Amino acid sequence: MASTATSLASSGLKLVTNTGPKKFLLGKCYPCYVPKATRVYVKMMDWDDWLKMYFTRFDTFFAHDPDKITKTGDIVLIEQLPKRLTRDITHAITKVVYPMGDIVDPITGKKCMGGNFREDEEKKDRLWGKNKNAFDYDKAPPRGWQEGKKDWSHKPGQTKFHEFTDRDITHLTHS
Amino acid sequence: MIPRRLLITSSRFLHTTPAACLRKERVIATIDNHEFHKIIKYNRPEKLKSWDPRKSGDLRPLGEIDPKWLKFEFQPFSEVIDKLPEEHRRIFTVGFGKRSDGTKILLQNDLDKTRRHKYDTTSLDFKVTWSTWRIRNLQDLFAKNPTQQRSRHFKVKVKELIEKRGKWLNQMRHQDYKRFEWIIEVLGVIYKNTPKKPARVERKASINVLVNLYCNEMRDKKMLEYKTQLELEKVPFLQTKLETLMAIRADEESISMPSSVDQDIRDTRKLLLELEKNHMTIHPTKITDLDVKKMYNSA
Repeated sequence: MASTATSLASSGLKLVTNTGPKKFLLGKCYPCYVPKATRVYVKMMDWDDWLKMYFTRFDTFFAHDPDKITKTGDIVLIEQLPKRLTRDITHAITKVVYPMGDIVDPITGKKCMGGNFREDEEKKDRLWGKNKNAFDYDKAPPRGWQEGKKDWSHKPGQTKFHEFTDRDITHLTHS
Repeated sequence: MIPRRLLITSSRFLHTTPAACLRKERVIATIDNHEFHKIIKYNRPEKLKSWDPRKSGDLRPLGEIDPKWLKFEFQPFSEVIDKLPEEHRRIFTVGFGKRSDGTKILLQNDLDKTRRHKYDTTSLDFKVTWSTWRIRNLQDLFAKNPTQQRSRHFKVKVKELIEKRGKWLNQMRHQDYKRFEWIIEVLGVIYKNTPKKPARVERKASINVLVNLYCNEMRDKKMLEYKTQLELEKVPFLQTKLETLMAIRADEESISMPSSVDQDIRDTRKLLLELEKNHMTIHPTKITDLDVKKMYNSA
């Protein structure tokens, strides 16, 4: 290791090591109770020096997101802040790379649905005779119109422990 | 049944002695009479059956069956059958058949709204619609005939279907979020995240959570009150500051010295003007526009 570093230094290049805190991280958003923030779940790799192999480890970071540009399930890029903003918030959201359930193929630039293109799926429907009442992408509003009504996936799952009389906590599941 | 000698001799079974039971009851009674229970009262949630619509997230029942509907297999010949006299037409209607003849039509009505095309039986849209119909069908059966609740086959079937539907909805969320939102609206289903660990509902643990909730809310409320109080104190403080600065300037002028507080006076005036709007929104009764303007004019 030292020999490679010295050889690189002599050639005028800088050795980039994999140690130390990472400035940019890619992770998945999860529901969180901290205001103006999102909980990002990042997959990390731990090097075992004895077995000479990597082991996966998941770390959670709280990223500052005052405008709520992220939603649960989105794949986001987060950047480390120069100074800790609050007790929890250490990072900030830089970009939403892949919004959940609305993924664009980076090579072709086409919209995807699972493992297929949306175009191909619609072509199949047209071949069989598309149902007039079926879902239409053109008429569909952007994501979030059911949030807090019928879609409670933005709240963490929790069992109902108390019969509240003064408030309505719908996202709690019955035991 | 524990032998009597063990009750007396062994310390392991001491809690089962009548004296110990009494002590325990007394402790519980004292806890329940604590002042804290006047603020927070724990209501244990009702335990629901596995098939209960409140648990499965079904917002609508199956729907009512009209006995005048034609059976599904005779619907292509409706033109011919409708011409028949009423007594003969009745033979081809749902009212003359089994319960499943009516529910089949309800399924077709639901599928007409959601399935992708006429021959679609494999898409997630179809699966979710079909499972919702089946769940509601069995829920209807349980509600109308309580004896059917003893049927282990149906109970297991409903539970499995509810869990499968949750899985399919989650798949749809990941594949196509807009379609997922549309289908839960059309079918009337609530989607919730499942808890990571199935926690047992306990009295003590639940009260702990409630106390934490209460404390946090109290803290927030007190902090807000204190903040508003500080905001209110800003204006009188600036007023006194302005008065003292004016006095200083007057003194300096009296001994023909160049004034050293001109910048400060300008800054405080600016701050007061800025505060005026915010202050009025927080506490409109405490201070009026006129009071502030009077002070500016005098300065």
